[in-house]
Amino acid sequence: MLHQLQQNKRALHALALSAVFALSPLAVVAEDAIKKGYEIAKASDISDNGFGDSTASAKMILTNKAGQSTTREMEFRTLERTSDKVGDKSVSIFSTPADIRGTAVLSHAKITGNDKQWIYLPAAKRVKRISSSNKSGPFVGSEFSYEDITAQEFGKFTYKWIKTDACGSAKCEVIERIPTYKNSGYSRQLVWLNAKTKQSERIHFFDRAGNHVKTLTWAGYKKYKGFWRWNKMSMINHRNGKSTELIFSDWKFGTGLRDRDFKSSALENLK
Amino acid sequence: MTPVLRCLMVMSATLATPAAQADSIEFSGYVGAELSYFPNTGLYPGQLADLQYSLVLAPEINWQSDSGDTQVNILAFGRIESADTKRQHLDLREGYIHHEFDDFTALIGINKVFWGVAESRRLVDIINQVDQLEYTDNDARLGQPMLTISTDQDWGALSGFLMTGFRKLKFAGTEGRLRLPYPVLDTAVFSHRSREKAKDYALRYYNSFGDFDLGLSTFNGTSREAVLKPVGGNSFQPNYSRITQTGLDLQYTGDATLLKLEAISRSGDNFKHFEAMVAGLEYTIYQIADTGSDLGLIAEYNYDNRGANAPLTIFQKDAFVGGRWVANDSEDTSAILGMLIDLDDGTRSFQGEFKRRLGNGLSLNLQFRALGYSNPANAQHGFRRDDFFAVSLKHFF
Repeated sequence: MLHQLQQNKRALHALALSAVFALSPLAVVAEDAIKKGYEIAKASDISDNGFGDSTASAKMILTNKAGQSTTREMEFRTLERTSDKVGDKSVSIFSTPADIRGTAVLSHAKITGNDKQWIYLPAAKRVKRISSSNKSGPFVGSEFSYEDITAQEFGKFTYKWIKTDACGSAKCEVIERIPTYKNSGYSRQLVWLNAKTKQSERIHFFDRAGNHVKTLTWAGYKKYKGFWRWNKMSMINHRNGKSTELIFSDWKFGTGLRDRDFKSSALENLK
Repeated sequence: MTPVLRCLMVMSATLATPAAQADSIEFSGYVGAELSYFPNTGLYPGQLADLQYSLVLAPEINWQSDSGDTQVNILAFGRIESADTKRQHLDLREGYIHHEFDDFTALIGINKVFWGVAESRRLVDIINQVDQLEYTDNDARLGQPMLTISTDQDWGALSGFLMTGFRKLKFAGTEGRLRLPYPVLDTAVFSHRSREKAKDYALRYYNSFGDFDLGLSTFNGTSREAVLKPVGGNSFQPNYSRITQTGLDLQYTGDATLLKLEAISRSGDNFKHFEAMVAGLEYTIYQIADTGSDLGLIAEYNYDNRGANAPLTIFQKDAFVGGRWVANDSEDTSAILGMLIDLDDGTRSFQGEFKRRLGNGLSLNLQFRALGYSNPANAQHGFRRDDFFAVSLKHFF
């Protein structure tokens, strides 16, 4: 799932980059806003190119309305693929809770059509090909939907520049993006991009009825080998009062991961 | 055998290096308590009355080299049992060294291998012997000693298996439930001279073509299934044939629909060649009733044309219908319910399971199995008084 998060970031970088050269919002007509949004996003898509492969550990903290929380720990591995037709390959390996230790989800992202996904169930040592069409369902009980995690390829949205806005003490460009893939739970998303760091600070998610249902914020940005990565993502669900935090640590790039480490036959002996 | 020897040498050399760091060794596993309740008294004399308690322990050790290229996995499973001493058993499920070479991987030791796609029957799956004593776990298998060489290339994944140390079926004791009318002898009869020392060979190819995942397999060795022949009028003796089996498993993955097919063709020393298949679909309704949970509807058709000289099966012409509910919550709650109907004689069996994590490391499992109707001619008829309800608590560490 991580690569999609990263590609989301990539899209956002480029958006911010172009925003620096943006005209005054008053002068921008709707058509220009679409063109500007697209160009920003397109530029962003290539701006993070070259990371090759990466790994990171993450702790997922699920908090309910009453404030009680449960934790999952996982590792994300990503292999970059530079193509207009296919996205990156990624694998998420769960280490806690202990009863799902070793469970892994492998994803080969595609731009059009569903991603290819397999799940490895260690108790039976079974690899199962699974459908990735369930976009709006909750990812492992969290407030992240599958699509928040797996549908972040550049080509899966249309873009439109909206406005310049303050975000904390920084300046942000706000971009609207609309999912073009099937089965999305969203009508649109608003993305806040930090104009200086070119990183996304916040996303507002709007459901099919147009209500603002969830907010995602990023924190703790740091540059690793030229690539911006964050240490925290927080998703708040305004409808049910629940929230999910993803705390990242141990970002690594150029770890020597190869294509064969992202094949379904490799899931059994992930190391 | 030269490449095999060479990889064994590399593997042992890697292991012998004093690089083993404490932090690359991981201990994990679970300890559990299980209680089964049989509402009906047993059909046969000596069978336990209604309650069966056990303790289970499954410790696991994993080690990997600094490079990650070499791994050692050890996984044992043991059960301590209240009534049936034969069900009290210890098995090394895994105990192997795995090494990644540049273009292939090698594994030597005891391992468990899963093949197939269907839900109601594991038809093409043949590497491991079924652990029949674990009647509360359909996926329980005995560890199989093997040497495996695998490669995963652009044209697909190919694995070769060389196996020795045949694992015989295990049967419940006189006190046990879900047993045959008479005890089964520990000594077995084999159709070939080298008996249980005979080696087994298997080859499997797998590849994913767009929405299709295809597996082709072949096995030559001792049958995992046995013909149970009456001996002396008060016991059974397992008879194992030398067999050759070719198998195919295929899955189409659509948006909400999975289509599945498994088929085999098997010939053996002591029976007429036969074919079998299981075909079906799984349709998932996502986010039912506006909740985050999913409901998968499963329907499968089983066909098996084996003759009377072949080991018994209950899947000659049977339909399976079932549902799998997954809550997608933080406790990973799920439930599965299924019914198998014999389309020839009307025998119907039901099975259900509910799973939920109770707290950190603790998980609850409830299940039942019941025979709704059994035709006296059906192999399941002997289990007609063995309906059960089981509850288990496992603590994972």
